[in-house]
Amino acid sequence: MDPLISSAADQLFSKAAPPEAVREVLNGQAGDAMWAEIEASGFLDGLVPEQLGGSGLSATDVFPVLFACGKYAVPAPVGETMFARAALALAGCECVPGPVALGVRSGSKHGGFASFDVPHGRVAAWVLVSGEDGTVVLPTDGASFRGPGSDSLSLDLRWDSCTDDAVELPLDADWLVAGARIESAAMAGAMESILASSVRYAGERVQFGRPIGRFQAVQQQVSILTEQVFASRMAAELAFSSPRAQAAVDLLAGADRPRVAAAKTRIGEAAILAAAIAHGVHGAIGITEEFDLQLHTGRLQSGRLRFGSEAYWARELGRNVLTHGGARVVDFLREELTSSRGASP
Amino acid sequence: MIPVLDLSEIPPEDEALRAPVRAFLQERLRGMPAERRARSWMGFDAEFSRDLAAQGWIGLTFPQEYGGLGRAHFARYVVVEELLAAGAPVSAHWIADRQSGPLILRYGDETQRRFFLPLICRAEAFFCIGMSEPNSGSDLASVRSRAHRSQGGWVLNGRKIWTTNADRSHFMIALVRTSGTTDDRQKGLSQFVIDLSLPGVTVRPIRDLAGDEHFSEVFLDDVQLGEDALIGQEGAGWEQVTAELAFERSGPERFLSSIVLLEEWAIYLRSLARPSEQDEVLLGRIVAHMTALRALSIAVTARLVRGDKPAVEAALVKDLGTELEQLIPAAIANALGADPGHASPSALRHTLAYTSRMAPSYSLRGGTREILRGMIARGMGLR
Ligand SMILES: Cc1cc2nc3c(=O)[nH]c(=O)nc-3n(C[C@H](O)[C@H](O)[C@H](O)COP(=O)(O)OP(=O)(O)OC[C@H]3O[C@@H](n4cnc5c(N)ncnc54)[C@H](O)[C@@H]3O)c2cc1C
Repeated sequence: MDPLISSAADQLFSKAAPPEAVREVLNGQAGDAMWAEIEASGFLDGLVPEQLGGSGLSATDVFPVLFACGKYAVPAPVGETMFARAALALAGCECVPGPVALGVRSGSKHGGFASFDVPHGRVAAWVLVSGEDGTVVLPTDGASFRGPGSDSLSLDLRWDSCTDDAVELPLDADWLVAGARIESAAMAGAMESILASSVRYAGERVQFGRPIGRFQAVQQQVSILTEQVFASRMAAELAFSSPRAQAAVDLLAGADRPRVAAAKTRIGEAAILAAAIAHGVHGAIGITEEFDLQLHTGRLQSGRLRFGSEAYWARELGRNVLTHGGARVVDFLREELTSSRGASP
Repeated sequence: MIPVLDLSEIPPEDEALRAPVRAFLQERLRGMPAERRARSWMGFDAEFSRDLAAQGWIGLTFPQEYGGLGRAHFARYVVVEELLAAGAPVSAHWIADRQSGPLILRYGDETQRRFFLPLICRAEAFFCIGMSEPNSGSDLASVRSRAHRSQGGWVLNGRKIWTTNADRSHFMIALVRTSGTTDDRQKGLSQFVIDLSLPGVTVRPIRDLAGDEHFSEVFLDDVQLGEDALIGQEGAGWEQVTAELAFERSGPERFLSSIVLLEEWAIYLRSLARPSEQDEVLLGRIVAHMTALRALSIAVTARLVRGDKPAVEAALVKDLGTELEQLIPAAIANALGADPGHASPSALRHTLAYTSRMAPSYSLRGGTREILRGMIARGMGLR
């Protein structure tokens, strides 16, 4: 993970998205000020190629930014907007202003569109609606129906017809993979915060005359949590380190899909365990609105549902292994999932 | 806090070993049944080890002057990964190559290095590890076997147990007390290399639950050792043993113990017209776990290469790894029984039976799950 980009992202989000501001957005506010600061950082054009006016960052470069989004529970579609802007630029379309959410596997009928449970839909100005008939970027305020989604940031959305300002995006991209890739990084980041909070709390909270972290039962639980966090971070990093999926054009095409499948599966499984252990260690205080742990465990819960859960991605990965030309599982593991040769250091 | 494990890469010159090792194994292991290959690093075949040595693939990290190839840890990583993936019977030379050789290289004196290391590289000296005793398991510092100074050397008395390959090895490296009492704990312990053909050494094999005899009880009665049997410093045994365990816990063997079973199951699934959705999901889950583990294991090796001592990181990877290794037989058993009466290949079922029986040992040997988690908690600042 590039330490410079990583610390720049930490700096940005610790200032733009402190826990109070995160709560306000989760509780219904729009978060315009937060978005303005993120916009000013320049990260949102990170994936846009240099010759098209962006910074031309690689997947390896943007990983720390997306990881930090999870670490700070940033309630905005930062990764989604980065991917969408790169796609618009590559297709020669005008950039749309403001946050862009991803409405994957959307339906279209009689000129209208329906997107189900769009992550960050409530705080997005635009939704990139992708389905079998292509991709169109629609304004959220032009939607004819808005229904609550599975968390306070997501929405079910319908548009009766294409709006005037809609942008058609003639680019062959795999938005489900893009979303799952982004989400893997964010979930791994959220887990890092959960671990830090658990270790801190176990050292501070005193019961029976000593810090609870001195009890072996608590130590063993925190060790399991640590292992899950290490595994998740590695799985996420692998999804951004494939030599075949570094440039925006390849990322958008969904290159090295099996790595994303492995990451989303592994991290989704870890998320269940991590959230359960962290809440166990924190006791009742962790159940309060006021204590920050809930921001991160809530983030994990949402993340599992977004862009395919473990059930979806594990099945796809299993099929990939079986149809991989009769090679051994270990060969698939080495060649398709864990080699980082060619990625920038 | 335990430092982050960064994604690392096997250098191309080490990766280049993979193809020749693989070609050799394909030829050498042809026709060996899966159930035997499933014994993984418990499978003993001295002749196989000698053939491997002839290729230069044992002790390849040792300097050339001691018979090795002077290669990096990653070269060994690649060789070992291929050996385990193929289910090669590596047990005979395994401990010498992984632990005893590196230990002698690091702490032994020049005479010991010149004597033992070339023998290890030629697969002419097999080693076993005498740490555990009947009353000292996890609490290793409580060992009671003892060496007393005598004229021109030491006299050793005591008992070791669970010593893998003691009955088929030439030497044991034992951790024993040389001064103080068990109350002194980590102080006063030393390591000796013991020629197992010496008078006073009695080895009694113990049969395991799968019917194999790979570990033994070793009785040490007035065994006379020369000065040259002491490895490293007198009294520094604990520090040396800790360094040794970091090697033991970090390699690819820590997530590949059930790999032969997994490969057999995948072959079976491929032979079906249509594998069930549950089977696809299960295979995907297992592979997703292996993905993170392999990258973590390579990251720990990168630390070793840099000269760090990643003992806690190695414990973390081992604990995660054994969990997957134990999940594999449990979940495959469930999958094969999902359709009562449906026939599956008998070789697959035998491999499953063996792996299922041995799986509980994965999280005992090399340090139990609870002990490893204690190390991780210490690494996180809780102890
Ligand atoms: C297949 C196999 C091969 C082996 N090969 C060798 C070998 O070659 N050389 C060698 O020296 N040894 C070998 N061993 C022994 C192995 O190192 C020990 O089994 C291991 O260290 C545990 O010791 P124990 O079996 O006495 O269990 P114990 O230490 O008695 O532990 C029993 C249970 O109590 C738990 N426990 C113990 N202390 C604590 C504590 N402080 N906190 C929490 N829980 C605790 C343990 O985790 C475990 O669950 C081998 C073992 C196996 C299974």
